[in-house]
Amino acid sequence: MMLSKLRYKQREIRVFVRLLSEKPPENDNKMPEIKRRNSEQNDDASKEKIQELLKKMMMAPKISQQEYEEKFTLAPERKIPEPGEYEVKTEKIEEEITKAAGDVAQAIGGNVKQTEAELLSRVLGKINQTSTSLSDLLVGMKVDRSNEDDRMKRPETRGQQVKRMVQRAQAQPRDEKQPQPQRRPQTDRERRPAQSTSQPVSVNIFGGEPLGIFKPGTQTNYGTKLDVWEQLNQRELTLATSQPPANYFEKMILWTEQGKVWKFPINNEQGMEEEENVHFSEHIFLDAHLEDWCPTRGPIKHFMELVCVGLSKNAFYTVQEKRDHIQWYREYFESKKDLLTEVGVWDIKPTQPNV
Amino acid sequence: MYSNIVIQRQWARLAGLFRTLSSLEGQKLPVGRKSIDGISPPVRISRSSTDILQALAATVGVDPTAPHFKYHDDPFLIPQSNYRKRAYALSAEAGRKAASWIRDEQSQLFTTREWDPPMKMKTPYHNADPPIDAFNPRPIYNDESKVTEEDLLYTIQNALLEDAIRVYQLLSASEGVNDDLKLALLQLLCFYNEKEPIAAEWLEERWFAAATRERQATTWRLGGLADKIFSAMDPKTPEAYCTVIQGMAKYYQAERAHALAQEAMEKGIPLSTSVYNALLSCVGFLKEGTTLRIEALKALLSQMNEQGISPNSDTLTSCLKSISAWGGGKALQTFALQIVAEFKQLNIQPGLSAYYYLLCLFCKERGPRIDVLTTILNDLEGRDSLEPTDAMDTHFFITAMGVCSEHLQNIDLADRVHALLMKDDNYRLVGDAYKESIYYRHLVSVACRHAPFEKTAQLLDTLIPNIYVPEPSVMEEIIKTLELAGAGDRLAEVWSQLVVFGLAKRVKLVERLLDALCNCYTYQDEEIKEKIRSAAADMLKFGQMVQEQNEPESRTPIQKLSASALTNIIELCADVKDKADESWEVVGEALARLRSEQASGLPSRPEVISSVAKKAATYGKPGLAATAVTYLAECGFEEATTACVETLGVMLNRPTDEVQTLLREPRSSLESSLHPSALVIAEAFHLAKTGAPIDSSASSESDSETSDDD
Repeated sequence: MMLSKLRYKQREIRVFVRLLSEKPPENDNKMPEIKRRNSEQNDDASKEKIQELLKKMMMAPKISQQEYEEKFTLAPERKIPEPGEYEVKTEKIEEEITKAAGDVAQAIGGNVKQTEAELLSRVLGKINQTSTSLSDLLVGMKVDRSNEDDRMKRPETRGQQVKRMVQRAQAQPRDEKQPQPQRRPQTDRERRPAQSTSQPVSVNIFGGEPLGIFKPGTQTNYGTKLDVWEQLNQRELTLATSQPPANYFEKMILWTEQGKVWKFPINNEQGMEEEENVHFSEHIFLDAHLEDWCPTRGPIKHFMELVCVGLSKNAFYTVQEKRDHIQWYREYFESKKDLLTEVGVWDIKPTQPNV
Repeated sequence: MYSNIVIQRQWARLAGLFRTLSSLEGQKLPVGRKSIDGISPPVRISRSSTDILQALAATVGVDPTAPHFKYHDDPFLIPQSNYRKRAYALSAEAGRKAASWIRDEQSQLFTTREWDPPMKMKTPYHNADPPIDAFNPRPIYNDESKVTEEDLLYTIQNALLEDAIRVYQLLSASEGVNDDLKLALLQLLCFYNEKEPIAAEWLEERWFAAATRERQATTWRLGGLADKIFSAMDPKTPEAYCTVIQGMAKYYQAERAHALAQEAMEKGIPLSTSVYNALLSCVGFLKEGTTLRIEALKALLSQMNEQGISPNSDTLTSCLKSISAWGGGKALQTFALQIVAEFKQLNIQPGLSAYYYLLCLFCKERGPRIDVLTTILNDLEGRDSLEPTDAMDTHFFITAMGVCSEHLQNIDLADRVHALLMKDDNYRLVGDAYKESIYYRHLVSVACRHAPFEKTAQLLDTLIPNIYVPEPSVMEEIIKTLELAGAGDRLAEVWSQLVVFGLAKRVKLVERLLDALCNCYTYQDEEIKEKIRSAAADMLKFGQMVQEQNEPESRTPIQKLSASALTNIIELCADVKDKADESWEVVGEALARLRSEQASGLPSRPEVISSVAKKAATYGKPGLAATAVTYLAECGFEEATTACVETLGVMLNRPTDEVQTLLREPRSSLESSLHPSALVIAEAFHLAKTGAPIDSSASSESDSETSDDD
């Protein structure tokens, strides 16, 4: 019995300290340690200053026993602590204390929050001894819990929760939350509350009265045309309505449109638009290009014929490239003309065909 | 042989002959005429490059049981939750982006070939022959690059806005740009307001892009390059005027746009329908108040008529866009109907975006319920196909479904909208991933609320999880529906869905599901009950797992199941008829968690725990019974005392009176005579009896004790 009570008490203190210092203590004896560390940081002068200030603060709320009882013992009823309500009630004194402690902590510097918390715990501990309930004081303190989740608002003790629930249960008929054991499935139309019973007003969108600005049947004239603008508009529209491909064929379509794969139907000359209107004979019969410069016989003629045969079998050159190739040889030989004439292989003029 | 010139000549002649033949051959296509031998080859049908592919693609239907094509690569990696789907698709795209980045950065690796030693020669090299433009590195333009007008044309045609600006600057520094190109550039700048658009290649990025709602605010860049180019143009062509006015109006620089239009008209420059459309869509920025705005709109339309410019369907859309942006109310609605009638008279049909604006205008969240959707659907269903004409067309279906679900709450209309979306290839009008998911959210919630259960179930089976993964709010709606229909097996499956969809950490949903499970547990078949029990047990395990995983650096506190939820689990799992059943372990675990305060709040139904205690005692689980009763007593529930007595009665197999007398005996005598678990119950009884004040004023008592201790 005693043990369990003590446990509650301990928990409460723990919660209290946690709320104040925002730092979960490992055990309850941690308090002096923290204080020592803090005092090490600050020099003795400031320590004295705190003590003095604390004393002053202790003196400040000097009130008669009667007043005290009015203010503290009567104030809060025991029910669900709703933050707003309590803050108003206990604001006067505790606000002052909290504020003063805050100021002091600011003046000292260092870890402001911790100092403030320690100061407050000291002050409130004293008041505590004069038999006010701890939780009442707790409630009035400025602990920032506005942004915390509801469920972590303030840990009630289990006892309080149970009591609250019992009260609530007594106020309301019990069977509300209880499941009916043999409830059969119902159609949802019966169960759902109709959200709005009124029938919507039906409006015919084509039922309006025309403004009569435009005359039907006149010649259409859309004015100046902007090519790039329309093109871009179309681009945006296509992009807005395009979706990632949903199967491999669609992927192939996409790739075809992007020009990444062969186009169907398969055509071996795809991408050779340059050569589209060139007949194959022009690729193959290249001798015609030798006619006006090449010797009619001899090694050069022989060589050039072989070049032509080679070129005619080349599937990768365009006709222009083949011509250029032959042209290059022509220029080459012509640049060596002197030497070639000397050797006697050049000036074999194209003669009449000897039948 | 070499001197055989005759043959050479003949070759040349032959070549000429072939040349003429080839032209004949080119024209000679098989014609569907009967030839002499009775064989008539069919007429050649010319097809575009994607026709066959499209025909093939049309044979592949949508399979709702399979994940989307883009997730097919590896069955192990198929994503199930919204988050994972997004991450998967975007990662795949990120890989493609990385590849293309390297291609652009290290372009010399792809455009040149380095020959082997000794020369280390570098020659230009193409990735393919014929070269594939799509695989070529993107040209990089900097101050050194020699640019030509062709480069500018290329950048404009590919909407590479920043490159276009750079090329333009380089060009105008050296040789100048001709007027046509300047105009083209001006159009590009005005269209995008000098902001680089997303590249067309990144489909997934566009698909998953967070919904960027178009802001109706003046964003036109004053004094930007577009303004400079325009003011430097001399003489200013009608095209230039039109471009700048459209650009300004598009980005809501209304006053300047209208002023410029006025100037153009005074100079006698012919404007265009598009210019007027743009002006109409921002006319509201000039005036305040509904009546003035309506007047301004009417005046603009009359002006258009006077200038002899004919309206088109975009004109209607622009008018309705303006009107819907001005708020609601009877006056605007009547005016909108007048506009629609006016265009109807001109034989101009409203497009999808026009209907979207009409829906926005009529179906306000808190306004009276007005049904315009029926007539709209009647009209749309009568059309052969819905061709998108405006980027805003993609807003129609999501808005229409939203109206069905929230405004009209009508499942029949929702069905019609959905059927329309599924018709032909209308599905492309669904927009992007964000819009699609909102669309289905509306569809599912309206079906859950208003459709018969069989139909809803069928819809859910089709959509979830491959087409749509429900968000938490929709999931709650679904749970509610299943609960009302008493579909226990589906509810049990919902738990596994929650896990798969990544929603299992949402405590609120899990608690809701547990409530639902408890509520319809009693009338389920034995088999389903089994399923429900295992689901409940799994919930408990999952909570533990999450806690263990999250232990190290837990930034956000893990939400824990509430005590009521744990009680629900206990209730479900304790419904077994066998001592050896594994469920008892779960019950024990849940009780332990309750006792060690790992759950928030208190059980709302303590009587469940007391009945479980009795049951445990009956099935020979005295330890569990003791824990349950002690928990009740520690919490100070009223039920604790009776539960203690009854449980002990069951355990010792004695009537209640006898137990009560037994309990009155001093502890020392009990200690010797009772089983340890029974002793614990006895202690709990005493705690409940005498320890009642703990819960009523725990704090004050503990205070007094403090002073005692002092």
